[in-house]
Amino acid sequence: MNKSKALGPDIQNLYTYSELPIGATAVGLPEGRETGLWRYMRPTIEEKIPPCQEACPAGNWIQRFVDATASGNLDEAWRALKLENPFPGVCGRVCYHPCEESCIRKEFDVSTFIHLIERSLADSFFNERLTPPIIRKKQDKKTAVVGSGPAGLACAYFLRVLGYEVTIFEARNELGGIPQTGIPAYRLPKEILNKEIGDIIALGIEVRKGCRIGKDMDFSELFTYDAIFLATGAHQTPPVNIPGVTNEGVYQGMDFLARYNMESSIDVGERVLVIGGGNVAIDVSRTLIRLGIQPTLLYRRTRSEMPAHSEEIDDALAEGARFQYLLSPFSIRKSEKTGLILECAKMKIQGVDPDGRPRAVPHEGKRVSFEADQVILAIGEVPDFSYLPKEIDLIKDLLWVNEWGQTSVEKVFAGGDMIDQPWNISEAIGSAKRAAIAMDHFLKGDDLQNLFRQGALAKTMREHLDLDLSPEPGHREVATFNDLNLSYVRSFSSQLSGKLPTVERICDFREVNSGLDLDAAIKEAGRCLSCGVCKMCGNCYLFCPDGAVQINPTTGRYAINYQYCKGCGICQNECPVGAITIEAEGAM
Amino acid sequence: MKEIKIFGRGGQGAVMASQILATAAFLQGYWAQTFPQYGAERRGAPVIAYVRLDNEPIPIRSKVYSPDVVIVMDFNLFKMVNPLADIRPDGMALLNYPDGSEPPRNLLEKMGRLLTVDASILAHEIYGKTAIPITNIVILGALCAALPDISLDSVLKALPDFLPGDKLKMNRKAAQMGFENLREVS
Amino acid sequence: MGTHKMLTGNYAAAYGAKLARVEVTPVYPITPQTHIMEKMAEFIENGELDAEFVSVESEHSALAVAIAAQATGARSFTATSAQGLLYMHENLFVASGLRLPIVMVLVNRALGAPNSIYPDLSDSLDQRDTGWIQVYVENAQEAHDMVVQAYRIAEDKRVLLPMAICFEGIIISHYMEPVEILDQEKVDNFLMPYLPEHVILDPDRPMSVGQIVMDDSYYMEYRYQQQEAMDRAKEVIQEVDEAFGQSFGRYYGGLLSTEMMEDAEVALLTLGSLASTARAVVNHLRNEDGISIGLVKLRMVRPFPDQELSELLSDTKVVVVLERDVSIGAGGIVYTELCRSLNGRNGPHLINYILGLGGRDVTFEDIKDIALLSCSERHTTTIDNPIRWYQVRGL
Repeated sequence: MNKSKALGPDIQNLYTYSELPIGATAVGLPEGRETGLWRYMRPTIEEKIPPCQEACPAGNWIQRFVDATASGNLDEAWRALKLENPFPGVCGRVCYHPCEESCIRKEFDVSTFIHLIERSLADSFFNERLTPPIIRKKQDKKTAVVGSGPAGLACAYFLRVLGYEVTIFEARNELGGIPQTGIPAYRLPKEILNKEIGDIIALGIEVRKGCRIGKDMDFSELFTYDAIFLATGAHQTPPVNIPGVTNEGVYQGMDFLARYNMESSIDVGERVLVIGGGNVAIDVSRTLIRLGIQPTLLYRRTRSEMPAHSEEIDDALAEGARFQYLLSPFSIRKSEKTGLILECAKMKIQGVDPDGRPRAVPHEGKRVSFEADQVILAIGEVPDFSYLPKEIDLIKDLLWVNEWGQTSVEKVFAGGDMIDQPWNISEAIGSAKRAAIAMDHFLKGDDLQNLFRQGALAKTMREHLDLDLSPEPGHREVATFNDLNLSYVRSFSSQLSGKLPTVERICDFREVNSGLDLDAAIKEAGRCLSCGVCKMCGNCYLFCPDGAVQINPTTGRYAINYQYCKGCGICQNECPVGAITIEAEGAM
Repeated sequence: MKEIKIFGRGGQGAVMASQILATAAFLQGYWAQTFPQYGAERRGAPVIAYVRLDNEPIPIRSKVYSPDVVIVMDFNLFKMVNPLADIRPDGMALLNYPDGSEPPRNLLEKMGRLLTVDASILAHEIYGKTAIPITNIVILGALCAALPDISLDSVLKALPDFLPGDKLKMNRKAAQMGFENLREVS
Repeated sequence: MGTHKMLTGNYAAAYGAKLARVEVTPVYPITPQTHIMEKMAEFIENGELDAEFVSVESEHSALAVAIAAQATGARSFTATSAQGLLYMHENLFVASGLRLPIVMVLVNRALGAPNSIYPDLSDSLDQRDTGWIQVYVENAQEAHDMVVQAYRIAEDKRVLLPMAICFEGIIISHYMEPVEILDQEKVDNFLMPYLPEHVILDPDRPMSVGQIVMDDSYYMEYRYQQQEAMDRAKEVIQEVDEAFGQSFGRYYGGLLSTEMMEDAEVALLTLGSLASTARAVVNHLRNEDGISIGLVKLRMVRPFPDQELSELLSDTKVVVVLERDVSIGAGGIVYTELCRSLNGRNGPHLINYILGLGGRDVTFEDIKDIALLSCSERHTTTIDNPIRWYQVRGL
């Protein structure tokens, strides 16, 4: 029989009826039917940075540990958490969690309570022996860390993880810096802090307590180490321009907290004034409440300008602290009877300061005075640079470091409250991590300047150790609300963690905020939207009409087969986390 | 009988072009027949539409296997199919092809006449930037300049049935621009 | 004289329904039929047609609405294809059993699996036992004309049966070609309004329809009425074709039409769009090669023209049935029907070609090859392997 034109030469090489499988099943795509050639739009599995991770000064791998928690893989969650942060128990309590401020879930219902998940993990692993995520093989280099606050300890931890020998020099007899001396126990129980410090030291770090550089040991001796990290913080009282600050009964906030925290007793009268609006002022006030005293806090601006964390202010007010705003102290003198008299100028808000905050100016010379047994000035501290050699440059009142934490002396790096960055624990950890990574490159003889220019200088351990699972790392954008497909999300919010009843907080240093138990934390972790990060939900695989989404056997992650991808965009549309972008195909 | 094959990609309007062309021929008194080849209709997918013109009713209803005229609305189609595989040796091909590029003279060996029009650029000028250049009406205009059987006037007369209202003016312009910008490859 | 316009088969059918002034159009979409009901929606929306457009949730409901509407005396119209038609199956019996002259367009589409939007006549031929009149048309013009004729045939008091106009999806439904749209005034003269006397749901004149019958009462009698009506439909179909020809100038031949069948030794018998190509082949072979060949275009499958075919083919040596359908295990459906028609007669050799299933292209050359091969078999005494599958890869 003549061949029909319908079976013309171009499709002659199709299967015969007897070769076809039984049951009208597909036999793959004949040559020339690669639907990828139809594509006008090109979807790419291109993970984005979750805004929480972008916001975390410590560089925590938030999506990873939260996602692992949600799926009940607690060991993995713990490893991811510990990889980036040796202080999850501390940070879960005292970090002001900017991650939650930027959480996209906030725009849907309520932020995921990341700090509670972090804390719950730390608490549940409290009795576990620390297994660091990875300890690289021994590097033949010695490093020194000066100061054992969060920055110093964190840097020591990261350097140890990277395989270096580390010696910590601490001027005091206790490790821990501000969390040890300045943060009251009702916020941070000592056993939590000391457990985490202990875990760090247990990695095999040499500690020299009571060794103040410049006094007990000469700075030059540090140069016998291959690299040095300075993290001596800010503990010095700045000159205060108020007559009478030297009077008996006038304390500096940090000194007051340190004395109480380290000695557990302090003599105070009934009338105590606290000056300042930062976290130290609040810590002092709440410590006083726990000593049975109702303090009065005086602040030169108003509540909305107070730098203290808002939740802390609320707690202080709830516990009975009295706040008076728009008052600026200008003299302290001894009272004719007992105690002190503090004179304040009344202030008013007028215009803005160069830093953008509303400016407080004296209100037509009006004054007000207070009688007090003690006045505690919580108006900030400054770093002490007196022990530094002159080759190490300062800038203004701070230590100069470049983008990766290196000082003007090549082998000396620095972080924490000595350098120009917000002074808090997560910033301290972040700066320590950046410096540790840079020190690693430095100790290997890499050209740091060049690495930085190429964008190859990691800011997190996961990037530095190449543990990130992202299919196409490199320059990534931060995920936004609009990137997500929230059709797959059910609105629910967890039972918030409780607080100790206010009455029980008077004269009692028990922890105020209770955490989530592990089940609640796992449930809470399930609220994470995994913004911009594939969590292997399989929607793209399931919905692709061409079977063009496949799992790459080497990475175990989804990949798009462009031979068959038509660019229909369904995968991008159905991706709940916004890990797929789509853009016009370039010239074919 | 004249047989025409139009190759386009989903979204470019190949089927509409075939219907407008057939309608224009019908208005000139031809018996016309047009039909698309159906498949997985999607933006970007190759689309084929056929047109037959004759002076008497057309009894056959099969695909066109030896076209007298082949229109290629998107040169990228050559990467997916060979639109000229079955063109008659004396046939004519009209390609959407950039004016600035070296004309594909090698194709001329297979056929009688080879014509080009830079329809993508003209479409961008007329309709603005679109993901897929809407080249159908521009190409039809060019075809009228190439093919004595169909006049631009009858294409313009056929347009309102398919592109009424606001779209009409723009598409009249598109046909006119195509008509004026035909290039013959020699 | 009507107006001429380039139309697809689907649009041509929709224009026919508009000219018939249908009053209710229940709608459920399915490719390749959807354009018909889209066009109906457009006619109703822009005021060209005064009808109720009822959007329903399934084909089953579409026909249920048509049945209910027709039972109130409204002229109803719908269309479907393939799986949609099968979903209507039980209601097809209700429509014919209640003797409601509904007209429906069936755009033939292959039944899955495997899925295809291209044609296979099996979907409508499968429904030949449901009591519907079935006509198969070969192009857009015939589709247009037959929708108008269908109402006159179906509503004739001697018939009162529902009627389906069947044509191939894509190959007719989506081909655009010149169509004469009939003149409305002439259609109004040709087609009187539907004024039923048998089934009228009217609150002022209560009536029970489709009620239960007992084993010893009337089931057989009602069925025999349908059989009689179907038999009478043959003469009505011929009369309507004649009347249509007189009014509009086009005669289709009623039950069937022929080409060059006088003295033909070989007859190609086919239906639908294949008839066009086969006609061209027959003319070609007669004129160019002097071969004694003719064409029978089967139009009506129900009522099946048993008598007419047996008379027509009595002197033919070979009848080649070309069809785009199959009854798995028996052969082409039309072929098996023809065997029944010619039963017990010392008639022609019958050869069956099953071809074009799922829209597999059938060219002029294909039919010509088949015709020539069949001509060579006209002198054989027996036909080997009468049922032949054409264009199967590897066969």
